[in-house]
Amino acid sequence: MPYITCLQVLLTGLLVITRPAIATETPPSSVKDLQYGEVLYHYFQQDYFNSIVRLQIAREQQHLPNHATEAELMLGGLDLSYGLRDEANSIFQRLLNEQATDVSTRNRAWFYLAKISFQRGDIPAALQAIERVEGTMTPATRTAAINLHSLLLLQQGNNKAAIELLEDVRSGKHWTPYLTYNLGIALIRNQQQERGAKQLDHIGDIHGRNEELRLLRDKANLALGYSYLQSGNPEKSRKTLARVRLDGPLSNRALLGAGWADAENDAFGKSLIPWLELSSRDSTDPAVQESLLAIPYAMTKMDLHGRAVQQYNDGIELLIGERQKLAQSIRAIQQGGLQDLLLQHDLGAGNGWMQQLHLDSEAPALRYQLSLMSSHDFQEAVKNYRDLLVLKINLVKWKSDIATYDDMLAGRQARFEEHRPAAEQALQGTQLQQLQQRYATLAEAVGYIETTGDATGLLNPEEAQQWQQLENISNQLDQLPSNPDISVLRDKQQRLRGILIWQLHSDYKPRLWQTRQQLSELETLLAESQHGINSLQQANLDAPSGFGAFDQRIASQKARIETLTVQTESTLIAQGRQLEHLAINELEQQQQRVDAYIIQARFALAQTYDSALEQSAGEGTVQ
Amino acid sequence: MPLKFHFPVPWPYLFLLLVFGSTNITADVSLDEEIQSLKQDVLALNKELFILEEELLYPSSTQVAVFLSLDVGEFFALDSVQLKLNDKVVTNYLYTPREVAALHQGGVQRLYMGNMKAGEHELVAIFTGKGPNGREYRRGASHVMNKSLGARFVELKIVDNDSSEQPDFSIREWE
Repeated sequence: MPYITCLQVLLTGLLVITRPAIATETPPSSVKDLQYGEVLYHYFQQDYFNSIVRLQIAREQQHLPNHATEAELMLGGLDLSYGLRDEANSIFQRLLNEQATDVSTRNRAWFYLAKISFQRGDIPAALQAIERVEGTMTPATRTAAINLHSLLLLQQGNNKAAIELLEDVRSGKHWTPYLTYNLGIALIRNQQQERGAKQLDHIGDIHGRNEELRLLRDKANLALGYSYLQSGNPEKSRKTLARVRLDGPLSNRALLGAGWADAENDAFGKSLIPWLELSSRDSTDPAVQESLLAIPYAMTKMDLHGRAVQQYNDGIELLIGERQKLAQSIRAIQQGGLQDLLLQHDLGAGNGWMQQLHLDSEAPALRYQLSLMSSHDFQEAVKNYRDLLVLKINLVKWKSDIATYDDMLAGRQARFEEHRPAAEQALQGTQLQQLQQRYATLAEAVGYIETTGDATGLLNPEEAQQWQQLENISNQLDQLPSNPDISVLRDKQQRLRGILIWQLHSDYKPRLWQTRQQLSELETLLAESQHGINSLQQANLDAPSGFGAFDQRIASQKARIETLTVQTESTLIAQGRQLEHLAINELEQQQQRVDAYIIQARFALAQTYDSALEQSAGEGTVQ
Repeated sequence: MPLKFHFPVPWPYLFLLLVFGSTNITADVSLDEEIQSLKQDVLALNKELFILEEELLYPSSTQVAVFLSLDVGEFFALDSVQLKLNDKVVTNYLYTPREVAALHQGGVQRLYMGNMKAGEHELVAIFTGKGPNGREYRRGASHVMNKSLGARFVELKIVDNDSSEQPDFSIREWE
């Protein structure tokens, strides 16, 4: 059968299109610098643009003292996610050139460099980089590195090395279903059919707890099913292909293969079941289009020539219709329909944006989006187009914001001028100096009390008043003649003075401590005031030149916004054209394929007529 | 002799080539480089504009930035937060599931940026969401901040208290 010769192409193809999700490393959740946490906040929302901006700001403002190396590594990873491969490459190279970089960081840098080369399609360079990942590393890095390494070896066709690498780590804790899948494919490609089938069969039977795993399971079953078909085992092929979900994205290919497995067993009647189901599906899918030819082929094999003729005619009609739709889609794209649709979409952050395109599949420009999206170049082109649209919006926002900065600056300047006389008065005034002198006098007095032990300096205002009264009384008594009454009064005055002195001495230490405390507070207040005066002085000197500097910065940034807006507009137009070019090329290829199908169908139709005539002649009745 | 059914061109081959074969259409390399360069320029512009904005609107002598973080968050599902400074509402923030997930993973949100004079200020944060057993939950936390000259960073932190199986809300000033 002709299709059997093509199964190697299918298996190779499955490998090319199957890029197991490479586990991205999760940065540490506990942050030691708030601004690093802020970068993570944007990163976890897949908002790479703002993550990069925040990280660059935090780095410039020296707000990342505890995450310096991590931040550098993260910036490289973010640049890579945002499509800045060249910048990411420089960062990782720089990290590797630094002597102080630790092993763990080096490993991650080599891993990312390998990823960059892989994205650029430079497999030898990617392999050179990934082979430098060694020694102890985090489980996430280990798994991601093995995953990428095995993929690279498979891309290079070095199946044996891929098997050795994967079998070496199979028993470890880093093993994942993706690695099992890669091992299965490597074994089959290395002509170790049975062992490879065992691996794929294992994946094909796993419980898919999420869509990613369910898709992997479908892929494994599809690859294994076609592999069995290639090795002449249609029964196993049929069973394996039956495990592919009927509503999954790979179901059309599975139905096509299932039909061929039945046909291989000469069970043409059975093969009609999956093919008829397939033929009722979306006719933009090449597998569906192929079923339009496969159905009458099976009918011919069953000697149902009349029905086969009908099916061929129906199929040709449908394919002609499909060709017209393709032409319509090409025209719609040429007229800007694709760009219009992309512009209508919400440009919210994250990768979900591309999946949302499926919602508008009725529009001619996006009718073949599934085929288009399977092309890596087209996906990248859409991503860049979307990024450019976001840049455009960003620039429009800044253009509006910066216009208000002039007003804000003018407002600040006006406020400064308003407060300037008062500030200058404060600066010229001697109030602080006088206060500082008073403080010095007080400090000296407290020092005297400490040295001499003269507690009277620690009297509170009430006590001081009492003390003064007693002193006055004593003076008055001194001027009066001595007599018993005066003696009684003098005794009383001395007793009260004694009580006061006693109170003062018994409280001496706490009072002295309290006075010292007050003095210390006073010193702090005076220092703060001095600091304030200094700041005011500095502000008074700096502000005029500061306003000028702001003026200049605002003017230069306005000019940059204008320049970048023009650049973004022109690049967006170029990228839009590139996108259309890629889409039209893809659709033209589909047109060529549909044309080939139509020719084949017509040819087969003619042959079917001949067979029918020949059969009728053999039976002696010509209709 | 009966005619043998034969396809001159093996059609599945065409299908397979189309589905799995490589395409000869490649994206324009120079345009890709131009886009990379443009992205870098706009990133640099954003960095400088944010710094300019910060210096202009929130000078370091009066700047106050309030951040919010979650630690575990098993006993509390955050819906919104209201922030008051000296009894005046300065921000009300309603979270999307995507933002809450980012906080759960260790991200820290810059909730508010403003200016404050030196001296004492009261900061009150009111958190609403779902508490243990999915019940409506509303709790507040307050903090008196002694603002001196220089930028001040404050973190509102929601932490699980394993012993009480309740969330704890705290406010911490960063040096």
